[in-house]
Amino acid sequence: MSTCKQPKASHIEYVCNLLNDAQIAAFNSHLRDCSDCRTEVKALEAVVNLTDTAEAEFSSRSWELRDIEMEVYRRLAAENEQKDGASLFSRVRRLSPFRLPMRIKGDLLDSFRSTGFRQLWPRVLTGCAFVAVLLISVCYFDGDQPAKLPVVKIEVLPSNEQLEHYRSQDIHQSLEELLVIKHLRNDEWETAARARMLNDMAQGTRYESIAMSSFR
Amino acid sequence: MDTILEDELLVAQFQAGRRYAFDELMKRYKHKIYAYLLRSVRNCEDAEELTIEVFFKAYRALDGWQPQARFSTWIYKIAHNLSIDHHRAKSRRVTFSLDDDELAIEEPVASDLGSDPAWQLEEKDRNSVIRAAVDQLSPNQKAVFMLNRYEGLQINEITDVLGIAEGTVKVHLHRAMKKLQILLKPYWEGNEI
Repeated sequence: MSTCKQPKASHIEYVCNLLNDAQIAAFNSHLRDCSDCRTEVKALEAVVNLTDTAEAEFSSRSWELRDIEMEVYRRLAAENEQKDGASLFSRVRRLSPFRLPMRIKGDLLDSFRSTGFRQLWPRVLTGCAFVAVLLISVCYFDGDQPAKLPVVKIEVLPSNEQLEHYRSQDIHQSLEELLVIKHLRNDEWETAARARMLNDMAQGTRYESIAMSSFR
Repeated sequence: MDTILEDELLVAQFQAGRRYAFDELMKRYKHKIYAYLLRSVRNCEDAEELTIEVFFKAYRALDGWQPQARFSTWIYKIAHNLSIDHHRAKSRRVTFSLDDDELAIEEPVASDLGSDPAWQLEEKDRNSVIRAAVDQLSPNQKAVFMLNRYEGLQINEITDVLGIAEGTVKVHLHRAMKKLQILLKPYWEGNEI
């Protein structure tokens, strides 16, 4: 029967390198005198050697570790995209200033109870239309950005100004044609005819003096 | 000047906005974490997936990380927690798939060794039996044993990783060693080392 008073736990700590230098030295000197502890330590070391060998063989297999870094960053990017992309629900929530205050909601419910649905249907239709407009606007608004609707500038002139505009365009075109005929073709008859026509077109406009000079 | 920066210094760089410091941390720990998870889950695809998850979680949490413990302990803690989750999920799946054919394939277990007349297996098979013996330890016993034996962590570091008291870590290690001593008795008693 073993008479050694060395605690069993210290054998394991010795084998697992959990003792400090002083403790190791003391334990070594004890092992020299105690055959029971030597046997116990030998058995534990054998167990540890067996598991170390088995695990080393397992770890030494050529596991193909794929590009971990790339995959981590890919997932982080995907997560960020998910965060950035505002959902329809969040967009509606961002438009919360347009929600009806609770008091008005209460009034509507009270009037619904008192008057019934038939009297309320115009209001219901208006409400539906409002919700539809709200949903459409939500689809166009980016939740994170201030609303930016595409602005198309349409220049609307008064009708008389517009006629004047077209007229001046015609005069310009005729003047260009007249210059071509006069200086490039040297066709006098055609030049005189076009000059007369231009003079008629320019009557009463700011191009009148120009037309007159070309007619001469 | 030492060119190898401490992990904690790299973390400080990361927190200061130099995100590329995380690349170096991943480079340092990806194989260690993978090896730890591979020993834990015994499946290379699961281990790889969990390794990615470890670094994914670490990246997200690193901004708020306080150097109360070493970075290495912290990253092992994430890995350990994920492996526990994985085992839990797996055990639930096994519970619901008792009729699956996969369960018909039985791994050799160390407790069968004494009754097996032809237990002089080839080296590879013997190693798989020994690993099966390690897998028979409880999750905490196995974690303590692996962190000490293969990751070289000291008791206080294991305490940080597992979030349990120092005395409890020693108890788990003691029980793990005793259990392995019993399970592997046919090997070490026969002086086959």
